[in-house]
Amino acid sequence: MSEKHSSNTHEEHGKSKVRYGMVIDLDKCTGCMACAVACHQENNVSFRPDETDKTRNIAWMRMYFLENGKEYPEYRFSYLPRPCFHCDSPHHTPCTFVCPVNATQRDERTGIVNMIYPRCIGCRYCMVACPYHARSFNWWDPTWPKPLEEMLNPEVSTRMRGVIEKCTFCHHRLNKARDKARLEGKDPDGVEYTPACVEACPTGAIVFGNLRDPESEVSKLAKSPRAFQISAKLKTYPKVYYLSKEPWIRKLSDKGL
Amino acid sequence: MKVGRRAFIGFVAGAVGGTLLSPLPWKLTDDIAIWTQNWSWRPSPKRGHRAGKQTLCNLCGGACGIEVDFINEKRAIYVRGSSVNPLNKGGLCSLGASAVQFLYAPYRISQPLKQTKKRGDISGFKPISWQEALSEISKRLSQLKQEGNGKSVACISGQRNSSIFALWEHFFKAYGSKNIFALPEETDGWKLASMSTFGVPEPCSFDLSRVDCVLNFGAEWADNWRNSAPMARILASLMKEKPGKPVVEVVHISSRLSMSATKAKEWIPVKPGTEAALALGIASIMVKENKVSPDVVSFKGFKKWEDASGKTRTGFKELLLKEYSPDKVSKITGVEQRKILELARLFANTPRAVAIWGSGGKDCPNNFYSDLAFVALNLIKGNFSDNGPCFLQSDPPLTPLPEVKEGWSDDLRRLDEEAGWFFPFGLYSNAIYPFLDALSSGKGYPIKVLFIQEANPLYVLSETQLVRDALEKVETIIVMSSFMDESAIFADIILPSTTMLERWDDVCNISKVPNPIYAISAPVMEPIFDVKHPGDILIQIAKKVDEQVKGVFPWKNYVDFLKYRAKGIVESKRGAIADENVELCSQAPAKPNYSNLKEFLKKLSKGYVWYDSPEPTSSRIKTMSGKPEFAISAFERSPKKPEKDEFFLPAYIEIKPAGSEKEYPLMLSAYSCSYLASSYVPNSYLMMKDLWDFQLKGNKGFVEINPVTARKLGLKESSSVVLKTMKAQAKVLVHITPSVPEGIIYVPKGLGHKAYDEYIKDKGINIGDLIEVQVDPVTGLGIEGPVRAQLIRS
Amino acid sequence: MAQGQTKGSGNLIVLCAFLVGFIGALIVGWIVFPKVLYSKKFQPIDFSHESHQDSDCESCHYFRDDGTFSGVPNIDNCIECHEEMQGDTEAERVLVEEYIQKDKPIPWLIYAWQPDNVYFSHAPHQKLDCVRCHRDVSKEKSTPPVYINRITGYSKNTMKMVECEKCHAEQGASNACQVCHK
Repeated sequence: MSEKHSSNTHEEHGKSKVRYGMVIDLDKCTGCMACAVACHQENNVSFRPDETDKTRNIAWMRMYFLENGKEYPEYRFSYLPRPCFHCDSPHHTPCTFVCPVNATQRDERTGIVNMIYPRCIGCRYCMVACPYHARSFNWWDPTWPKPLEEMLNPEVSTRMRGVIEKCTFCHHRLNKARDKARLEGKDPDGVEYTPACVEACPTGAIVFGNLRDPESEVSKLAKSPRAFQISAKLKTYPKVYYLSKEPWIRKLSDKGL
Repeated sequence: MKVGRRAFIGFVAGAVGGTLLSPLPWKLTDDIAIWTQNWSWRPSPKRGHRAGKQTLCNLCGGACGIEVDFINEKRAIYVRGSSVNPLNKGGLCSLGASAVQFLYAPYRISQPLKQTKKRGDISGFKPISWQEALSEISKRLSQLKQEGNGKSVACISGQRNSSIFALWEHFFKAYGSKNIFALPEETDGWKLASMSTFGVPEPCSFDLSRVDCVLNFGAEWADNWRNSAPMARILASLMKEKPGKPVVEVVHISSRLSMSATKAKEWIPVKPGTEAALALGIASIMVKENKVSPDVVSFKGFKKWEDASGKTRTGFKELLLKEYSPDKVSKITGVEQRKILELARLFANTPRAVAIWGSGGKDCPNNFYSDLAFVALNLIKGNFSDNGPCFLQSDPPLTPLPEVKEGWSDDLRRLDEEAGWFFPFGLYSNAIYPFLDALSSGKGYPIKVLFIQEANPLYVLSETQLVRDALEKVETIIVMSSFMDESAIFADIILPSTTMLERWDDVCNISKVPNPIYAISAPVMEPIFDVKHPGDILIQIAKKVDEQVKGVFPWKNYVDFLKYRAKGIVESKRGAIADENVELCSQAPAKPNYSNLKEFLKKLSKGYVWYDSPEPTSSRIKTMSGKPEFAISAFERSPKKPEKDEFFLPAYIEIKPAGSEKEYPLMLSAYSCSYLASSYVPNSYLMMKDLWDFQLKGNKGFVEINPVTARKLGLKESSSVVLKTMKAQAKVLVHITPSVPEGIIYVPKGLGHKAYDEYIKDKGINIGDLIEVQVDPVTGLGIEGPVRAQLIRS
Repeated sequence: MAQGQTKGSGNLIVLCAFLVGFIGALIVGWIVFPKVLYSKKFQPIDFSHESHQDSDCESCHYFRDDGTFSGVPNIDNCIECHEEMQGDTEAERVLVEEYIQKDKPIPWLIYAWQPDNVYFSHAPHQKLDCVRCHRDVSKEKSTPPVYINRITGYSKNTMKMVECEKCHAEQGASNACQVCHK
């Protein structure tokens, strides 16, 4: 592969005009979990009779529970929906850095961190490396009781036992949006599209778009005084920002998930 | 010829060499590698073109626009919200997002079934044909009617806000029975409060798009204050900072820190069930400080008033000043006097301030007097004046059903009345618990045939044992349900129904929304099983009962009936079909933008919604005085009149739960979450995935308890305990959380099913088993207040 | 081992044995193995591209407005002309009687079947000649059989990742995972 034609080098990291990212407004989130249901429906995420062991189950959009640590009646809580943060740290993300088989990479043109499931050897190194627990492991073969297989989405492949999976920012929707743009003679780079979670949210708490487009809502919100990232000190540069006016929530942001 | 050893080695060497020079080993290795990437037992979704179809979601009785994605127009794979709908504007709730999981649910019933063994034995169901099932039912019905025993037929429907409920009522009127009930809703009580205050059974609704302050008395709008997605959207829009405008003051008043409470600008914790007292305390300060809307003075019962017998009774003003002074209210509610004054002044001085209320998210009726108290607070603020923000929700102008000439005879009485219950609001009351009580205790007359249409009372209603005892007494239970739920298992005949995506339905009005609403949920696919719409079944049965019933059922099928109903709106030339730009509020202009029925139905079947501007309350009032009334006039017609004057007025009534405090030192209450389904439709597979591990762990449910109470009882997080009430007991784990007050323990609604499949069955506990329902003596509605409970370490 | 054989004849036997093994393995590897590896299947209808020369390729293989490609047409396309029999061929009779009249989709076999985890879209490849990846069908009177690999389930013509990558690199197109994987 000649340098001229290379398509996914880290030199490109800073150059691309596209960085898809997300802003989640915790003040608006009412914890209805529609985002998680829609995400898992869209992405053929499997389920088992017992989903209560959260260290073993698979969730691309997982809810975290935040508390202010006070007693009744000063106590307050908040939900925090967590997709994959698609970290934007230069050179590598924690997960792609450790993958021994190149099954997960970041596309430097869009910033999306992705997986090739069949290539994964199930070493779970990435799962350990991810500070945000965004990756889930298939401890069992995914099965759907009959006739629920009918609802599977062909735009997303089902996974198998022994591989890692995680949120992809619904990149299959990006691919479709790019194709549509191409057909309409538009520039496919930086095309707008909507992941399933964003679409489902009844309060409009999740905003998605190109962080490098100064005019996009998402880039404006990411600069809001309410905006923060989780564990920013780790220098992983998450592309998912959170918004909250509550000082206690913002204080928790450095404590990890 | 013998082959030598050396020749054999030579042969093998040649074979190896030849093989290595052929593609065989490389191709085989490659192919095996590829094979491992495509395990044949891994499901492979059938491919095709993905495209959406617009319709409407009514899974919770709401009317959110949805787009259902199909593969090759056959296979439904995904549901998204539709932005053309003014209620959800593109968003969804977790139930709506799960719609296709219900369509393809393994626990769906695919054909009519008949119980051949003992009732409740799931192995006893044998398939029968539709013709057999329907002719058996209609023969029994016509026989009962001939015998003059029409009253012994009853129905519990789970679809109150749809024309199918009107169709049931119509059938029962023609057939000669008054025993028609719906699953209880919070607004059951609101209707009767309006009946008393305004003389019409139209529930209150609120224009929340134009308010500056909301005092929220336990309306858990972020948790479960129907309907989930539209409410969440309204709440988010209230909290949004708009440039140049002050942020809406949202004050939440409740005893448990719900999601709604934590989202509010301020949360005022009160002792459980005392929200109404605080409302009256605020009203009292407004009266004292002369901040009362001027017209209120002339409303019946505000000042001293005379009842029908000529007796002078205390007025509301006097009652407020005497009984609901800040010090007294502070004692009842536990809220500081200073805070009550502050709240009262905030409410009185903010021009557009509204009080909303609910049942703490349980979606069950409140005590009658509390509902009246909250209506009264809004009346005193002048919120029912023509400029809002409170309205009475009038029905859309649907075509009335054909007149039934030989309907109910004069001496026909509903079972609960026959059994000795009396409620001043009579048939306006959805008195399902008194009905079940009469049925289980064998009072009144026997019920021979009970229809249960998509309601699952054996799970949804509280006091499950009472419901079971009552159903035991019924001769034949006919369940119309899509799913093998608790009630279907208990049926004698199951008539499987279509699911939302396969059928026509309509939605008449959305609770809490001031605008009259009409919407249609059209099918987006053919039924995947041999199932029928309950409306079609009812029309078919009605036509076979006898000529008289047949005569008032002129419709070919349910779609025909819906067209008949919708024609009324088109002919009224009222309202408009909302597009994506319409924001539903009292001032939304509504100029007819449809010309004929065909066009109207076509638009509505794509998820659009018809709406009208709400009528001013003044034009709805039908009381004797022509004005809202504080005094409860219904008692004047009642044989059982209360003695004390205060029982004729909005009041705070302390509900005392049964049982001894010594034996049951704790109070147990239920609560709802937006991500748990507690009605006819169960939690979907993916909803179960999202549950917190402090609400369900393995198959164990949790009870939520304050840290101080836990310390006193020596309980730790995840301790195993037995939760015991007067009704039942259950094994649960302890979740210690400061979101609940001391001495009160909480269990979420929506778990503990005894049906469906291993993904849902026996997960957690059904709080309905443990709760005691108190029948409100005025309305006859079942109130699920806190009950006494104890926790035993195990 | 037989006594009295000379050393030379022994070597010859070994050489013969070697050659038998060598040639036999080559025959197995090059001729028998590919035959055994692939199962031969026939299309449900013997479609002739040649007799449809009067219509454009795009009338059956077209892009939809949403950017997706229709691929192999099904009865919705066929019905436009073949609602009734036009000619008297057996293939047309099967099409009309077995599929169109019964409203049953035709279970076409796909020559370039890709596995589930591959995302391929025609939209970015519009500028390439169809024959760069597909067989030339312009003169084709009869649909060729489809050879399915018994181990992998892929068809014989399924393009492999290395070919995709090579062309992407040459054209300067992205080789990031999600460009081609789902």
